[in-house]
Amino acid sequence: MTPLDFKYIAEQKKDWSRRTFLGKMAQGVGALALGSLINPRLIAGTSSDTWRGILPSPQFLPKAKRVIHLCMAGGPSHLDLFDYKPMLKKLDGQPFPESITRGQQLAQLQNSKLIARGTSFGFTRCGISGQMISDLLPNIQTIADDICVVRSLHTEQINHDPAHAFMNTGSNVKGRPSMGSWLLYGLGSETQNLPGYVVLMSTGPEADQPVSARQWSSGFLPSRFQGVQFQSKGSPVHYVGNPEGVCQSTQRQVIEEVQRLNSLQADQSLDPEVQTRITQYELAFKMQTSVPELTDMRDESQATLDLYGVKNAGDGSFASNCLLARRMAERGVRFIQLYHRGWDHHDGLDNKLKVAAGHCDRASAALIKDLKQRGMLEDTLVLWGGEFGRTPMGQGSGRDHHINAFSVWMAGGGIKPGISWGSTDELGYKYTDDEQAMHVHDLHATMLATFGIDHTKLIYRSQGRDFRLTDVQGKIAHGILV
Amino acid sequence: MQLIVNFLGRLHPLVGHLPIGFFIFLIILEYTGYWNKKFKLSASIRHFTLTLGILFAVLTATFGLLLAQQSNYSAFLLNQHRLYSLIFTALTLILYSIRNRVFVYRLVLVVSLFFLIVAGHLGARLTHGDNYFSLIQHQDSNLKVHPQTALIYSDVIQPLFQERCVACHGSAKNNGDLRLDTNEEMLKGGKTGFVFKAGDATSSLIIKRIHLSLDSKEHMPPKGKVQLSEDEDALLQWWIDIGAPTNKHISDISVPTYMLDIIYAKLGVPPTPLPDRLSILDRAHVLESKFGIIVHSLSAESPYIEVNARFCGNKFGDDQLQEIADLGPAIQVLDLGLTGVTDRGLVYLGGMKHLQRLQLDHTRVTSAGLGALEPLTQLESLNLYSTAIDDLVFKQLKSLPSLRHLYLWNTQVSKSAAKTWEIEHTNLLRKKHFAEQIESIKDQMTHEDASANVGESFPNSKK
Repeated sequence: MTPLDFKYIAEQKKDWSRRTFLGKMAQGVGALALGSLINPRLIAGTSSDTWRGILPSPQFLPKAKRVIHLCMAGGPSHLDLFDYKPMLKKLDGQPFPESITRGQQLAQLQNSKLIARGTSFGFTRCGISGQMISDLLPNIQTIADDICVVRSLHTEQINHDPAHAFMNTGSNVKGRPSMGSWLLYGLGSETQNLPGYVVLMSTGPEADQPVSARQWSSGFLPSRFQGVQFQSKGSPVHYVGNPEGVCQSTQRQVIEEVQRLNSLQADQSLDPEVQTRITQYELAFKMQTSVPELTDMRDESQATLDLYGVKNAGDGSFASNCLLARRMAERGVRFIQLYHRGWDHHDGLDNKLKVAAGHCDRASAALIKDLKQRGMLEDTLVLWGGEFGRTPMGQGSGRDHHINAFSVWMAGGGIKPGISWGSTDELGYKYTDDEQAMHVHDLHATMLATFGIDHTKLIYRSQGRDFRLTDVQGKIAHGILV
Repeated sequence: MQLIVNFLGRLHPLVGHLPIGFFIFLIILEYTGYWNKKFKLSASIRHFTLTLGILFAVLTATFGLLLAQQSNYSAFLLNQHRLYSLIFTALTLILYSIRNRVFVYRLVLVVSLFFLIVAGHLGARLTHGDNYFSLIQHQDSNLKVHPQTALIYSDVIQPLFQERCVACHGSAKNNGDLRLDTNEEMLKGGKTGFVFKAGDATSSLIIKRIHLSLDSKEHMPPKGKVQLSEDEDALLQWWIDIGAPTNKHISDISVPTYMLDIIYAKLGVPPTPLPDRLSILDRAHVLESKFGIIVHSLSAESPYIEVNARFCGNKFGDDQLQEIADLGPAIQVLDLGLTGVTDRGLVYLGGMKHLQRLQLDHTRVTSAGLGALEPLTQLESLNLYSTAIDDLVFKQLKSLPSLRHLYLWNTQVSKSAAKTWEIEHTNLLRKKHFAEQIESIKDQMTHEDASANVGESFPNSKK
């Protein structure tokens, strides 16, 4: 080793101690990245493993505190569920007007003859608001006055995986944080006993859509903000119980020793992943008691189980997951994502829609009603919808992927109830380009706004560039905010 | 050629400082030489300094005459400045010719100093505006007007124009035919149009100019002048957005909290109604770690906080509630759900005058205890589900005029009693809402009047 090398190492060491100092001051690299936004609470130093969010306080008055995202993976047909198109019905079976589709991106319908396909299902005007909702969703019809149906949503990605990525992260490029991770980074979590961002997959015969775990990744944000997937069936978290012969106090001792060793490392290096490790060990220990308590649904009344349509609590069905989602919301989980994977209807649309709607309709409506009677709908934002819509053109007995327009609904958390937002053309092909048009970026901006967050101010610097959930776009749909 | 002339003209304020410097230096030399023989001024140095001073004085006068042709200076000030400056220049030339007759020379030098100071002062008034010094006094006196009696235009917006704009758009100098020093002149607009479009800040000329890139020629205030701060920019936009009222009292406008802070700062008033937001948060954080509750500042715009004790369970009871009661007026959202709070603790809620949302679900409170909520006139949402309350609760809730959400699921309350109360209370709210609407219509009418005035008085927009 040359003297120069020694000097270099000495410099490095100096640098390390400075970093360690700063890291301790402001809870790691995230705060450093946003030096100007340093959170006085973090400097004041409450318990070292609590992350209270990078934002000292929300920019506007927040309405929502948590999100339940009911993700209908596969792309539910807006034309059969929420977007009533009598003209399309009239054109049923006839060639689809070429003027509309010329030069447009298609997924599997490329180079095939395009035939209009009207819906086979009836629509009903519901509630005082008079929103048109398909008869496939009799229970969601009953909550029409509580929800805001957005019919002008459009996305940029026409295949499932990138479209999910776009919906979750605002980008089809891999390695970007999902919206749940952004929220945790910005606001922290209310609970220290459960992960702040939990993902549940419904199980069942219809579950044919593969959904990659990177959809709830924290991307370039520290990995403590990533979504944690709970197993829907059996033990929700593997190995959450102690092995035989190990009691809780032994377990505590082990954890404490590991924590001590890890914090030695944390003092030496800047790596936020070490900090993540420490917090995750602590969280895991707490989850040994909090998770069994969470998933033990014996204290739910029969009336509640019936409301959701839960046959066997904890069976991994969508209904059981909706109930579990409410229990998580009560316990302070910030972002809860439920995937139902039975909505990709390229063929046999009518039958498959009935099955999927049958799974989701009752429990989705029940979730809204249950949150409402507990007073939680005031600060819980529910988002129901898929990653894109389906074509007004038929594909055999089904419909193809469609990105130019699809419908979702939102409820609670600062969203105006009982309104429709945006519209599509007469055939449901494309969103109407007016001030109610809503791109996925706009949806993200609006969701952040319900949390009091200015989407242009929640920024993380990675590899020399500032990133936001909405990238350089996003306009808030003020019209749907209370 | 015109370009060079214009350029040289603009050098006038720069070159102008040189003769001032040389002549003051000369006077210092003469003075010290007169009193102290050691520093006696030699004729050659006097000659040298005097020559340089005269040279620059003549140069300055020339440039000044060029500048006078191209700018919109107030004619009166300009004439005075020119007169005094030319007299001074003439005096310097006389000085040169009499420099060897020391006594007369010194006498004339003193006289010329007088003209120099007056000319310089007039020049400064032309460049910096009339209020260059009076502004210092403004900043010194803390409280100009009481916020209760302050007018939004005269006491907040007009002073902002005075500080940032009037130097170039005022009585002394009205670039672009625009004057912002009086209400009438401001409403007339300038060469390029009206200053603003009432109710629409983003399409208002003044806001557009402020937001242009600093390098743009049209950016205002021009590069090099003091720029508007973010707060001042926000203030101006807000004022235009609410219709640019010129005769309203601040107390008559519903001002968002963050804007109130900005306005109060402009008025020199200590900001929020709460004495000290930070000390409240400090205190809150002490309690936070003591009890395990969660305390948030509601938003950057709001002085209020949210307190969440839900996750403490039974560890948080009446005694703990008593301890957080001293934060009372600052609490707007309070979650006591699942805690050990009982009727005894509810009395501590009485001081939380700004409470808007209160959760008491899963607690041991009863109908009798809820009478303690009577002072909470701002309470909008009350959650009592899964408690032991019964129909008697409605007697206690009579006095909550702002209540809009009441959660009674899973209690002893009967459906019929709830329905009756709902109807009664809705009627009450309607009456209140009706009264509020009348207020807001009145408000709108005065707004419309204000903007109508703008249109009527000056129907022809200058292009």
